[in-house]
Amino acid sequence: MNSLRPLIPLFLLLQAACSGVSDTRPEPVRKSEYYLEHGVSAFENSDYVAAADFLRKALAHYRSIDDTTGVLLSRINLAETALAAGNFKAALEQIEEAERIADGEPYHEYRPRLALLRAQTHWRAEEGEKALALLQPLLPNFESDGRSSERPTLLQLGAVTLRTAIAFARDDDERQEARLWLQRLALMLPRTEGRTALHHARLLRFEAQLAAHEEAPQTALEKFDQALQLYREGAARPAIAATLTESGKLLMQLGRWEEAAEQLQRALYIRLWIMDRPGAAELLQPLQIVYRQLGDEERLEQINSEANRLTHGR
Amino acid sequence: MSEQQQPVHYIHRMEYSVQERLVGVFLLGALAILFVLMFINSKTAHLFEDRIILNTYLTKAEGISTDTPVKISGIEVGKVASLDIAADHRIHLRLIIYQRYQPLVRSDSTAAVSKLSVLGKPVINITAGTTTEAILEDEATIEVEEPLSVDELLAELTPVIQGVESSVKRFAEIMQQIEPQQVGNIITRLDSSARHIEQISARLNSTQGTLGMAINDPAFQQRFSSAVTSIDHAFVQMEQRLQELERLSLNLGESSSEFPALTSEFKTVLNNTNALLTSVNVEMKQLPDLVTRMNVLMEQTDRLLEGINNSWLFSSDEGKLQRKLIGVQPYHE
Repeated sequence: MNSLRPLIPLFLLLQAACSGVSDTRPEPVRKSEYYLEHGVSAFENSDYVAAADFLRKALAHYRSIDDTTGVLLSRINLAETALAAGNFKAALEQIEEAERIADGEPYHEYRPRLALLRAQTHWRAEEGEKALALLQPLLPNFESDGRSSERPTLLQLGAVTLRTAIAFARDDDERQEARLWLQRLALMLPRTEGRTALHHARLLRFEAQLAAHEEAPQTALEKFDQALQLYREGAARPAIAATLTESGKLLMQLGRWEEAAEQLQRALYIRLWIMDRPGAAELLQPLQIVYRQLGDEERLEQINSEANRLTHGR
Repeated sequence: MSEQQQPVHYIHRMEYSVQERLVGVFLLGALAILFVLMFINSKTAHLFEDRIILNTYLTKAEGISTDTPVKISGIEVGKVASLDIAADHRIHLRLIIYQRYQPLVRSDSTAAVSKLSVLGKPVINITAGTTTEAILEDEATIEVEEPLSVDELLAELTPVIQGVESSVKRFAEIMQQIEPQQVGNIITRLDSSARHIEQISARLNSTQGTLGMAINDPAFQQRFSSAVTSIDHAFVQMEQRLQELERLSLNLGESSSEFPALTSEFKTVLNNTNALLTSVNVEMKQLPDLVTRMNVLMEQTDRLLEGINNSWLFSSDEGKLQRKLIGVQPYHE
């Protein structure tokens, strides 16, 4: 082995010589980009704490070299991360800062993205009217058969997904509006370039919700399960938590308290993992009902103290 | 019989173009330069330099090897050539000194192994001799001051630590003579006196109208009389407190008789510490340089690793992070 040691530097030098296109950009530029890319990567792994950390560093580095595009991208990513972690206030702050930049001529292309982000944030912060107003210009035109008149983009798909979620949340016994938007979404999805399994999973969840409303709980549970599988494959933490919550609530309606408790607990664990305090707090009420039904005083006590901790930050 | 043409391997039909030859020459040239650069590194930089040998003997050679550099005034002037055991069981070091530095090594030069050699990379430092002294010849012997072992280093520190400890004890003894209860009482009484004075001043402050009116006011007279009584009482109390303070200062006076001895001891401790710090200081001066070199080395390593990472053999498109914007998220809730 020792006889090979002198060859190591030679090998490394040859390696360096064989490198592809060497990056000759200045160090601050490369460092800023490094943080930005790692932030995006951490977000895609649903590691929002690490993502926020990387992206804050990216923002600071881009600001230090006065790179407006970098600052804008960092802020959009930070807003997306804050929204995913349920921190709406921080998300809105980042969006506002990003909008100031996007008002400038070279950055107009980012405006629709920011509008969608703002709409998503308002909707999660229970400001439905504001969300709808922002969504309207982002939606594609639809033909009478429910198809979009142009080839949809991912941004439009995102807008229609949110619009469908709003339609489902509205109190409508017949679910006419929900059915309409679900049909549009289902027709739009296969035509959208760049769609992922996560988009399909979201569609399945809407279908499950509709099936639950139409009193077909078994179909609903199956669709939730299919969606869950897809989300698990993509390790999409917030989506898994949302699906488990919806499925748990359906099990509550069916009086399957044990299973409901199990699903809701799993969802709670994920919400706490990603530090989504509002998301975790929303789960506590159904969990209290479930444990009361099960007469599990010990668990109920735990949930109450968790609620206290989340509400008062203790 | 017709003569059949034998098939020739295609390789024999090929001819080198000038361009191909140039590429070959360029490649071989690059490789040759690479080898030369590798060969001429810091270790072989003095390969063809004239040198002399100096001998020295140590009782222990902790950390010293044939790579250990020899320095004069911070300049690397040679290195340890070999280590072996002398007849008297001491360690015999043969030091290479490059000939151009030979005039610096005189008969009054002394060598010393760096004091912190037990903690890090050792260096043999030779003091530059005075110009009037004779230059040391090849194969001469030079005296060397040996490095401190960890035990010796600790032993050197022990008196200092003991001195500090005894000083602390003395301080503790003095502090013990001052009774906390007494001090507490004095403070309480002073506080009470202060409150009395405050009350008096408040009373004085609350007086209204001119002096003539005040004199004619029987209520004021009564209050004034009371205030004077209070002041009088306060003065009596203050006198008592002052007497107590006097007693306390006497106590302190008794203790202060030990101060000269204590000061003298403390001075010795400080002198010891100073001597130790001076010897450590020389080694520490090299620290910034070391840190700078480390920084440069780390940067170079970083670049090399980045180069390797980018190279075709190690890089993969899958691992590359090129996305700068998070994709539009399907709304999850």
